[in-house]
Amino acid sequence: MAESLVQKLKLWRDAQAQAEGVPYYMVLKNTTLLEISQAHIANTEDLAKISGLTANKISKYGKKILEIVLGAASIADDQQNHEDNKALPVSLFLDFVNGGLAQFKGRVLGEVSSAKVQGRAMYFTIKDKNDQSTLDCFIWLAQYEMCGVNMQVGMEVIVTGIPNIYKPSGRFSLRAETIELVGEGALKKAYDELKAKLEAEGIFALEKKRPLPEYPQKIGLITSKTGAVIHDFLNNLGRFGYKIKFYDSRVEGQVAVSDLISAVKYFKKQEIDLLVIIRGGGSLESLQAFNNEMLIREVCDFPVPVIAGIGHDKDVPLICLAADLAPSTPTACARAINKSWEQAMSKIEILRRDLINGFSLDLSEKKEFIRQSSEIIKSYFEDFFEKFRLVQAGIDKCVLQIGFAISRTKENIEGFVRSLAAFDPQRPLKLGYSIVSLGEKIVRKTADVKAGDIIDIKVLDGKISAGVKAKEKE
Amino acid sequence: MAKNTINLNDSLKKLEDIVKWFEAQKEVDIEVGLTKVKEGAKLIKESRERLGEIENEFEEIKKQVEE
Repeated sequence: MAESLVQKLKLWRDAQAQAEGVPYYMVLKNTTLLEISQAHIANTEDLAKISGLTANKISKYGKKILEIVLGAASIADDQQNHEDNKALPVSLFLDFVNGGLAQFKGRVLGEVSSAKVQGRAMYFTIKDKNDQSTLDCFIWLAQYEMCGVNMQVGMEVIVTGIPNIYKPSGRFSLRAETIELVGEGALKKAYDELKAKLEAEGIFALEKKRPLPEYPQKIGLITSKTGAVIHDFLNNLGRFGYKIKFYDSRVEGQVAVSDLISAVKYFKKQEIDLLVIIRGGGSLESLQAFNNEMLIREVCDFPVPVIAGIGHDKDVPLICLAADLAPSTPTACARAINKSWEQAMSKIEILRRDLINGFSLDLSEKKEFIRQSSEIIKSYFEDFFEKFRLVQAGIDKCVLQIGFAISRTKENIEGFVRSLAAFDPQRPLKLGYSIVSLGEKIVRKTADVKAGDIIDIKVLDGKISAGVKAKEKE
Repeated sequence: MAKNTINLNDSLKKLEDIVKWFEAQKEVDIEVGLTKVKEGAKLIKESRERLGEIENEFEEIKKQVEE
């Protein structure tokens, strides 16, 4: 019963989203619907216990949800009644049948025999090529546009949807969730056409590519949690304190489109440094979601750089051409994100060296400045003392010279004294010599006197008068 | 720790001014010069001490970043 309840909730939710003109997850997420279907909801208080239901949502949709949930419960009762062979009102009977039909959700292959848009939906019919069996289908335009398939009569498609009886008309139809092209040929043709179209718009232009942010921290990750690539990616992401926000999305086939678009839209509102979309390799068919026009346009409009790591053989998924960076593997994605961090490590090393060397140099300069200043001050002050020393030396020299002069003079004087003494006429007298004179004339020879002359004999202490008696010449 | 309060940059600036003063004098007034030299010697001593402290601290930091 839970399964059919989910389908009923989904039908209502999709219609509600359509009416509000918003993506279905804006009304209620699939996980929330599942939670509601599995809980035993009896009243509004029970609804408040559902994690995906905010007070706002309860006030907006609570009544309707309760109606559906309790309606489903009454159908279950009615089922019991049915088994008891009691009659059912048409509406309840159809609810009961639709509940049962929901389990026949499937992918149906057929050729488009008619298609027309009416209001916000497209009504189309597919036929079995072999026996002309016919199936009426219905798809909301928003979902149709998301498919990226240009429906034309005669083309072969696979429609994924839930069989359902539309209660007002009682018509049976397949409520399509998605439509996809059939066969590599058709897919390749659509791929080539879209590629040419987007190329002409310049969506793949290299100059549009943004560089990855340096030192990214907050990373938005879109992939399937069950795939192998998520492990490759996370294992190769270095330990640089990344904060990863993960959005679990289907990545296989056409049905992945709505998940992927929801994921990209979700991350548009999140504060992230870059967005990473990854999945492993696959055929054109299994990768077709990554060639979806709407998804590619969302990626192009994305506010921060987008890395798309989608494995592929021949035809590069168009999302890779539109992304800012498209490494071939999830591992390469992780390495690209690590790059600036790894470079940062060596940058830090260089900066560390520059810092240490720079500061060492500064210190040496300051030291040298202090040394020089000290030298300069010392030299100026010493200059003064030097001058003083010079003056003193001059004075010393003068004093010495005066001393010399004095002693020389002294010597001279003594010389004079000595000379004078030598010339002193008294000196011979002291030695015992006498000076004999006759009148004024000094007697030197015998001839200077004759007998009878009175001569004066000068001695040291006076004069002696004497008469010459005789003379004898030798 | 009071010693640490001297700012090396300010001290060096003052020292520079003193050196400039000496360099600008044609003839040093010995009395003023003595005052300047005293001040200069004090600044040199302080600056050397502070620089020594900074150097030691820097060596510590260097060890940390080089580990």
